[in-house]
Amino acid sequence: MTTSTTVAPLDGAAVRRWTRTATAARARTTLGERLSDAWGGLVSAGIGVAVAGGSLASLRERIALAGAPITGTTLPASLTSAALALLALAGVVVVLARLGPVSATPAAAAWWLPLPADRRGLLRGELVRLTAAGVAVAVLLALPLVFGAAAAPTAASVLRGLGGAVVLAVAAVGGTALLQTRRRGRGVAGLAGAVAGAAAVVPAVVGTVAAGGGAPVDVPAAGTPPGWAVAVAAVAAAALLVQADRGLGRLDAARLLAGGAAARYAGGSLLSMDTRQLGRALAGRDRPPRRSRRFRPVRRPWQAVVATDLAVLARGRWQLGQLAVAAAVPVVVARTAGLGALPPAVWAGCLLGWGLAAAVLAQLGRRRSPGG
Amino acid sequence: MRNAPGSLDLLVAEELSVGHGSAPVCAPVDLRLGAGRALAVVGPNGSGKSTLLRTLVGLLEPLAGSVVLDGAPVDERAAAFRRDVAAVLDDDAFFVSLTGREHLLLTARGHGVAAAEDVVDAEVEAFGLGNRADALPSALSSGQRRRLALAAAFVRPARLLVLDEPERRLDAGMRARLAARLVSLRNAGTAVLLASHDADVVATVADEVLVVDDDACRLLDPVEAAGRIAEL
Repeated sequence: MTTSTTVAPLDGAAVRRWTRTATAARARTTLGERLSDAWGGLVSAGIGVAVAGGSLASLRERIALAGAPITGTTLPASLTSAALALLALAGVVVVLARLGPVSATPAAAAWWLPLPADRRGLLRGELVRLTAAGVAVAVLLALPLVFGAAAAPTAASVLRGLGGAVVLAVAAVGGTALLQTRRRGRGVAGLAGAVAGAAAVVPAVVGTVAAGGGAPVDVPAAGTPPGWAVAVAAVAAAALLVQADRGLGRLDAARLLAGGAAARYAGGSLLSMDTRQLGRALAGRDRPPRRSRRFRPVRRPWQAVVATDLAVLARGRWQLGQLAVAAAVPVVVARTAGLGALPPAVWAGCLLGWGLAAAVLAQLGRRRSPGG
Repeated sequence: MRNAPGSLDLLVAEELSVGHGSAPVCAPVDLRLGAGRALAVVGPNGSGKSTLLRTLVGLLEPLAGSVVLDGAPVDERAAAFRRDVAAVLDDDAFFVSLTGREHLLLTARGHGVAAAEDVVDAEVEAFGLGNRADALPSALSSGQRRRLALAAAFVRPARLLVLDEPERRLDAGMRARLAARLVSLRNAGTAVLLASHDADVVATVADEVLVVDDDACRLLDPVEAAGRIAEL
């Protein structure tokens, strides 16, 4: 090491640019191929949105044609929409908090973060990508709610609804990233998890009690948010994002790397549609046991498997709550006015519940290591 | 542990307790390392050597005690700290689309090294990478990737070099050359801190040896430590 520092070192943005340029120089794809890929992606997204819109219109029509009795003992669609919106938002916040949300890939942690370059410049691209991903997910999740919430959706109401979802996504990314930069994000996932649990379980309980006791469920109809509210929220969300960006330099390498490892694991699980691995990737740490269990009642092999699964389930911070949400989702769908009369909608609710349960049950026993 | 007369302590750890979560992995550590000195950390597998090194370079927070570099608490978020400290721990992560040479150039240019290409060329030769330096990391053997990671610590200036088992995955010849490089680096004024299981590397490089254990962490001179390393 006979080197000396005699020229200005690259700043964060320059390091990112340098890496991108060196990578692009080796890329075997041409500009035309990339443009073609982008066009293909846009067309696919458009087809997906059109198919989703058609399905939703068909669903509304079938609800109307089914003539299912909409009584005071079923959950109003507006309540279910609000509960699902809250559940989706809380779920997004849980995922963001689990992943950092700002993180670094192992390569970036090994080769970028040890450089004296400003960390804000290095990580800004990650924050932008994260925000874009959050917005895309919010739009996809909001589409059915926006079309389902209003009796006769108009272009303005759909835009306001989607705008509200985008603003919430930006606020979720900005807020969790801001808390991360201030090292105050530890309790966010737990709080969001509790909100998600309440958003699913409370309507399920209310709907079940109402059905059993004949008590009416009286909830005022909720429309899409007014334009001024969306605008005010947009300003607040942008402020959160700007503050988060300013704090990127305070993020430490160890947490960035841990978030990057979790994001990589979760991303791979999502692409392979492996709910078990996804559950493992996003799971929090188990409660440390106070003492070892004796498993005295266990006599047979199958009892050993069940007993260890139950022991692990009891030690988890998330599993029971997630199972409750998994059970509540199909109940809410089945008890919702209109939806409950449509078998495909109830099946979809069951499928969603099964996915949530599968993700949480992957936490049980039979893992190679705590990291999965 | 004291440095040679006249030298100043660059890295100081006092009553340092390290671990993951809340449980310490070894006894509290006191150490002082000055410029131009080399300290080897030895101990059996799982004794806490790597955890100690990660704490000393700010990648883990101490459970108790303090770590100070050049008078300031260790904080890897500070650009000055990253300028002063080069560390090669147990990472084996590379950008998939950058060649080995490009990884080294990124490091050199990121640290503002003048004539970065010449410096990189020299280290590529010194670490025996030759034309393999122009291959992507996926085309390198694990030993070559280890050489590449080590070379990155030499293409940039640093006041403190921290290495976690640098001999791992290296052949005997490369181990000997690495030890010689570390000695010349130490003699040029860089502080060297390494965890190692290799008695020859420790004997060649270290001025003092810290034996890490559950009960107590003790400083020994390299001759005393040789027998201890052989027992591990």
